[in-house]
Amino acid sequence: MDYLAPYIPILMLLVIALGFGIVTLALSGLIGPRVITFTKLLPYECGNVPTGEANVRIPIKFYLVALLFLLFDMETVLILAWAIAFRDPTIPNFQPYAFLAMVFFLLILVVGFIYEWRKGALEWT
Amino acid sequence: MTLTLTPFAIEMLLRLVLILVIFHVLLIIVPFMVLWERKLLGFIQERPGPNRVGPWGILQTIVDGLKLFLKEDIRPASVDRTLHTLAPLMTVAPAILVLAIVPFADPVRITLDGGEFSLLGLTIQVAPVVLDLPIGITSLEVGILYYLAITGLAVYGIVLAGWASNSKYSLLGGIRSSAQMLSYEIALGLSLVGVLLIAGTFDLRAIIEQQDGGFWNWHVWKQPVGFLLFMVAGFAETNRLPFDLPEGESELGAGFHTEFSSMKFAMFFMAEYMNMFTFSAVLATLFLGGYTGPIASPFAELGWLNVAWGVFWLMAKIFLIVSFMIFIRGTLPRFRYDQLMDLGWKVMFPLALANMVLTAGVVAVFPPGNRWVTREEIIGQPSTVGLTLGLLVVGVAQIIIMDMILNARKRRLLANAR
Amino acid sequence: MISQIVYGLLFVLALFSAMMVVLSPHAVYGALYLVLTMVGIAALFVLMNAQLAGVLQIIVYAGAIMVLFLFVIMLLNVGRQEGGSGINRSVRWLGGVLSVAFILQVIAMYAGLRDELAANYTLEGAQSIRIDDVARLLLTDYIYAFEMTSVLLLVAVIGAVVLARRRLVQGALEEGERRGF
Repeated sequence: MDYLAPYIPILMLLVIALGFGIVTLALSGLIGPRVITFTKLLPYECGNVPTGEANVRIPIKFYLVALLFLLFDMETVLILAWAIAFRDPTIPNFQPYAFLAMVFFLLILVVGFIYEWRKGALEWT
Repeated sequence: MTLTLTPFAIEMLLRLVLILVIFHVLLIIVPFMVLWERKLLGFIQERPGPNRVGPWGILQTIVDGLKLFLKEDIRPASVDRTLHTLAPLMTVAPAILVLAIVPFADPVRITLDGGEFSLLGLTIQVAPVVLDLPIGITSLEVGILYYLAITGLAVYGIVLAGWASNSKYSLLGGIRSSAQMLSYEIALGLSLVGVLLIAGTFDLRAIIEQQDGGFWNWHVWKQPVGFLLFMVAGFAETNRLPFDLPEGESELGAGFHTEFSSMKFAMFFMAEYMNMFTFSAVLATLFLGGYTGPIASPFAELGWLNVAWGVFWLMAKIFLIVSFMIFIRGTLPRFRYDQLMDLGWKVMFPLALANMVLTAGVVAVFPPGNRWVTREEIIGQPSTVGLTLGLLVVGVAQIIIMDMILNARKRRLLANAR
Repeated sequence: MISQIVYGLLFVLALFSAMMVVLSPHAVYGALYLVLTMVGIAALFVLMNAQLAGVLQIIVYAGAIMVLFLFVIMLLNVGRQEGGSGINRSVRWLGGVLSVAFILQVIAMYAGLRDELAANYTLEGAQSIRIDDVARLLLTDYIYAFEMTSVLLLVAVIGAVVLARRRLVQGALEEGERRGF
């Protein structure tokens, strides 16, 4: 169970962090005054009377960003794992081989990147 | 009743004490960071900054914090009540949790003779122990991945704050800032690859040990581009100017925290400064030698003086980086949103990839052990021939494919014209 | 002993939040419970000494995929007012029967394999997997899978762009109509 020892402090920190947050929020809520007026119940729009629905439609662009992030995040994770193995001295001539493996991997992804760029998926105008 | 403390229990107790100390130091540092920011901004803009409460305005932010604590928590009728309360917590918790992997100093040796004492009618037996306690909360084999994972979770607090508020400014601010954080997370991860290629480990303490001995060993000299990219990505991740679009006060009210007041707002505020602190610590650790000084430590290993030396240098580096972040705030205007996304995807991402390939190439030619390989060793090897041939093939293929993509339209138009 | 208790607690947490994903009245809460499930599973991975899998679980699932889910929920603006599911009764019954069957199957499997599992797979016997070992395997034994991942990601990128472009054109046309062109 030795491998779990480094995670115990993280658990302690998590408890402390949540405890700190909850206790301060609760105390502040108890101590602070509460005077409800009509204007306080309205959403804030810089002093104007709120107009229209709050549920504005969100441009599809943001969805595209999240999707592209997901894909390139996967790529990043694989690359990070590769970076750790790269200096491995146990296999002879491992570095050139690993380098090529990564270049081929990247080549295919760069094609995808250029494609999305050319298709205007990265434009925000 | 007797209670026996095993060496493991003692270590965990000591760690708990250490965690509490570090956590409280962080809580104390945050107001002073805010004060320092206001003072420095004042200096840049030729005004005194806060100078009324206490000498040199030193109590200003503490009083501000107290004021926020005592204020009314205004909650508009249309908010989602549960998430409105949860969102500040979900922002502040990751900000505290990332601190877990930051090493603050070399280990210190703690010797306990063991013995017995009684507390509240409870007899406590302490086993004799000698243990080397690393100063820091913990040390993980997956250290850097942990950092990336927890900063990734910070998005939820912001996007939920925007959504739970049920107001236009908040929603737009939340969505905007989460898209920004996502875009720069890619660059953040990729800019680290260079360092990892050199270090060969995710463990931050091991990375620091590689840089020990003097400032010429710091990774920043080997990875200047990676350093720069990581810093810019970090600015965006902590939502600092010139990347403070989430707040963008002249466009979106106060962005995702428009509808938050009192302590809930203070949580977002604190989280920002905690993130600045941790980010500076990680930046210093990865590129600037962490807690190692510019020269090797003159103090004996495993002693308290050595710890003080380490903590001093880490704090000095954090102070410099934080001051630099504030300086940038006082100097640069805010990016427009399309400029921000362009920088992230079209500049940082390709640059990080190029930096990575270059570093990998150099490490491949000059393999581990920091030994320069002789010319014969490189040229004679089949793997080198293979590498060269492979690179040639890859390059030609890349040119052909890029041409196919880039000129497809032109060719089609030409064909139509004919 | 303690680790077994923690294991049980995490198991209950992951299962409970997985159930709440389906039961919570609002899609955003459902997504949040799914995040909690992912974090719980990540903690279970760590407990079984698969630290890399645990962290990747958080980075990829909790940090990326679930953000995408949330974005989609907000994009489609589903369910802030709507209550109840639109699923009709027979489908609901079918789902209930299927889930009971599934649970029974898992129990049966467990009953059949219990002795073997207890003998070979204990928390104490969890093998230590070093991260560099995983990475090296990725580059040696599983190199083709590794390279094929990039092809998969390429296809996904192209798919994403094509899908979003169609919507973008549609959105632009709609806006034009609204403005009276």
